[in-house]
Amino acid sequence: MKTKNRKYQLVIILVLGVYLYYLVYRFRYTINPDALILSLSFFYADVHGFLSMSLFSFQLWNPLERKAPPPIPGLPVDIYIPTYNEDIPIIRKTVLGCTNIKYPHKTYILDDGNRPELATKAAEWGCGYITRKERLHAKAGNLNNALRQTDGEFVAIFDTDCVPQPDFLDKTIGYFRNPKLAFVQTPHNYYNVDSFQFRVNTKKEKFWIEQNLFYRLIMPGRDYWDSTFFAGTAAIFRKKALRDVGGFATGSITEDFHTTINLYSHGWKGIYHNEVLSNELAAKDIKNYHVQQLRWAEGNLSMFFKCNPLFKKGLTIPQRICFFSTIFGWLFGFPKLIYLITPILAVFFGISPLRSFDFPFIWRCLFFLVVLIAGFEIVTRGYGKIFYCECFVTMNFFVVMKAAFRSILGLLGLKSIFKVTGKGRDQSVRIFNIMPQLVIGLFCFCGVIWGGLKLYYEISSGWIGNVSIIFWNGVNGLLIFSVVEKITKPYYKRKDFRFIGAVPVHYAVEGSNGFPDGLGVTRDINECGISLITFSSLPLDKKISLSLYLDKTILRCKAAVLFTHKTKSRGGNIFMHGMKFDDVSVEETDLINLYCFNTILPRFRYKFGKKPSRISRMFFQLSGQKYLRRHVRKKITLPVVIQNDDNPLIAVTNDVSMSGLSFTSYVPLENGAAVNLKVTTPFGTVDAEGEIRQAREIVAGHSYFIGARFTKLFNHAENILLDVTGGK
Amino acid sequence: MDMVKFIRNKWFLIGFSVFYLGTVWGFFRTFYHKEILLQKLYKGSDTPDALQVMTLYKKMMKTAPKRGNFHSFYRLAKILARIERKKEVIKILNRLIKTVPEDGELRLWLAVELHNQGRYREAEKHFAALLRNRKDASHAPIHNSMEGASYAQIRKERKGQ
Repeated sequence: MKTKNRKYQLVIILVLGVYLYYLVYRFRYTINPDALILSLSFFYADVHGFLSMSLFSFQLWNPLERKAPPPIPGLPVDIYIPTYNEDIPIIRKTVLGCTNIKYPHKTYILDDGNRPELATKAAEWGCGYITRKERLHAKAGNLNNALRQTDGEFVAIFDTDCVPQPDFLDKTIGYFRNPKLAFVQTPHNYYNVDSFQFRVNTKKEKFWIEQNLFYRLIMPGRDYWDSTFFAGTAAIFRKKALRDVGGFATGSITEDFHTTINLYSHGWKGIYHNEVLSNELAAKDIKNYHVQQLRWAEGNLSMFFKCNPLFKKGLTIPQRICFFSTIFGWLFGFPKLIYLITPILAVFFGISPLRSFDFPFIWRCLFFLVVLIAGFEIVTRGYGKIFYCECFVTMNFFVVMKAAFRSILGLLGLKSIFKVTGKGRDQSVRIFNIMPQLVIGLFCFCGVIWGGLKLYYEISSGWIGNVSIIFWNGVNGLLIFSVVEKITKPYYKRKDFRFIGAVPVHYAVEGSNGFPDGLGVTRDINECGISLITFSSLPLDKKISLSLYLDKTILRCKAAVLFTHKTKSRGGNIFMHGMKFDDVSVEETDLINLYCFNTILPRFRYKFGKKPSRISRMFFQLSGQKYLRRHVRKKITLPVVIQNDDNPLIAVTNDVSMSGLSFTSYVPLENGAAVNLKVTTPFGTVDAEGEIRQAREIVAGHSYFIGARFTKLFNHAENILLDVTGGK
Repeated sequence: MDMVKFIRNKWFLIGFSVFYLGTVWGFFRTFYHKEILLQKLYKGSDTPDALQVMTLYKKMMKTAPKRGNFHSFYRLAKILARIERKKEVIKILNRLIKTVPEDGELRLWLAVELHNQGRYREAEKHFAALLRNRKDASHAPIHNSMEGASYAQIRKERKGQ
């Protein structure tokens, strides 16, 4: 057992101990005989929470960190891209990612939509194209059809929107030295941060998405118990194992979970390699998100009746527990509903879920909540944020309840339908999508006012109880308000997501002497255009010649300015231009796409990646673990030209101070090397000599964090730096 | 019409909030009409209007007191006491004590009222109950002050009878 996990295990034991004590107290002293049904329902919700927490803790007991073994050369690998009705540009990106995988392989598009234009494109892109006449058993049927027609011994599967990185096979194929290994699963990494599922803070450079808790923590935890499961995409299989279990399971709409249970019960193994090796689109809007959640919930819950892991032969006890927890996890809708409506019933009908809201209960409840919240934040190591998690539970409780009923109705013959999650252009949210939340939210706020008036008129006895109920209603109301606010928030309606990343760009206005040329930095980029930040304005009616410094490659193209937004910062002018590329060739589009997926995204992940919460940081400090702050300087992105040999390196700063700067480079620079630095700022150019003080690899192979110290400042560089940094 | 855009509109939200608050307030006033009136009478410094209080009393006595609305009945008893309607006070207190038998203060009040009305047998029963619960610390001040003296007086008077 790793000592690193021991402190988390202690926290888990503490949380479960306190939870158990609280439940015993609740059962012995707080069941209200005057409102037995409500009181017992409330108690059930607490017991459900304890079971969920226990199963969750079991899975998080000792997450594994695997190091990829070296690849086995010469294995025949097929890559499958199952598709049904997705847009061809989305498929193109996935194909591009697949064809750029370094390990030798064959790529196949499995088109269940039977589209002739896709067949033509597949030939153009150099991939195989497999289709079938009848769309039997949806995705599982599609994959099984391809398994019969291709001859590779190993099969990697990528959904239409899942773009692999070039080293996907290099990092996963080595595990197959183990002859009993059936599959290797890798994390699903969602990249379209404009989806409503993301919580992004550009100032603090951090983002959060619900699914990371599962893919970056729970799955490695399950790997320890030998219970990793196939998550539908970003995985590689041994074909022999699939053949052994009759191919991908077709009896359910969650073929992944079903196939996993079949494989384990036949004695095969699965491994989780916890390194992002592919990037995919998260559902952009609530409608498609709920379609996805409903399918997962219904499919997984129906497994309880179709292929119950508790009774399936050939599984170990930890496997039974882990797979059961997958099913049980989708029942969270019922306790959530109880937690939402109990305070409403209490305030309007004067019925109390507890015998009395007295001080002995209040202090125990508060202590329990503090331990639970802090414990959750600590053991989830920055991936779980209690407020955000609660928001998602509130967002989905109705859908998963619907799924539970549908899976029960499935026993009576109601057929489940595999609905594909839409990943393209977002659909407008309809009020119907959030009706349950809206209704309950209105009642919650009504409960707050009602309770407040009751308190004012001293209508009900026991002000502690009244205040507690008002507070409870208020918390529920705020949660629902936050959910509705996030879901209905209007986003900029760009069809294709733009990757957030700073790329140095040289710009020049065509056929005009009045406008200066210079260096700028992108704020975001995709194959259609960029948001360019410059320190001088660009005309709307002229073509702009751009040179994009995509590391070693310089992409030259023309673009039109669609809009300009001017801001002032400490007296300097900053212009943000929305630009659209003109006549970019297919090769150039591919180049931009590959750069976005293989360079910008990993850098973004590094910069915005997991950051522990305040509670976790406190815990780290108390337990003697150092938490390193990455930046202490002023975070400003400015184009910088670094000259140390003959070839100048053009990069973008991460941060700047009076004494130095840091930037991301695609080549490693040696510590102690002397360099000339030219930084373009809104106040002029800083000319300086510097020395490399820090150089570390942040993304394997192509991204290095370089820290440089100014040794000599020329001309007015000091004054300019004063303006830029505000004297820091 | 885009309903989602509509519900995010600032003016809609302001208008809806005002309407919503007004509706909740209106419902509350209708639903708790008696309780609001009671509070007004209870907090008022003038002698309450006897007719109004008796009408309220008749309405409230149609329902049995519960722990949840204990305070309303208690207040009604206090108001009735202010207008010297002792019989009605005793009636209410008798009902209340069945709902909250553990309330020593209430029992003492009932016992004293019964005693003052010359209903000694009934009063004795409640004083005896209070003495039985003497060990309960929360009742200690009540026991130590009035109760002993009152009970002693009852015994004396009964002997005299």
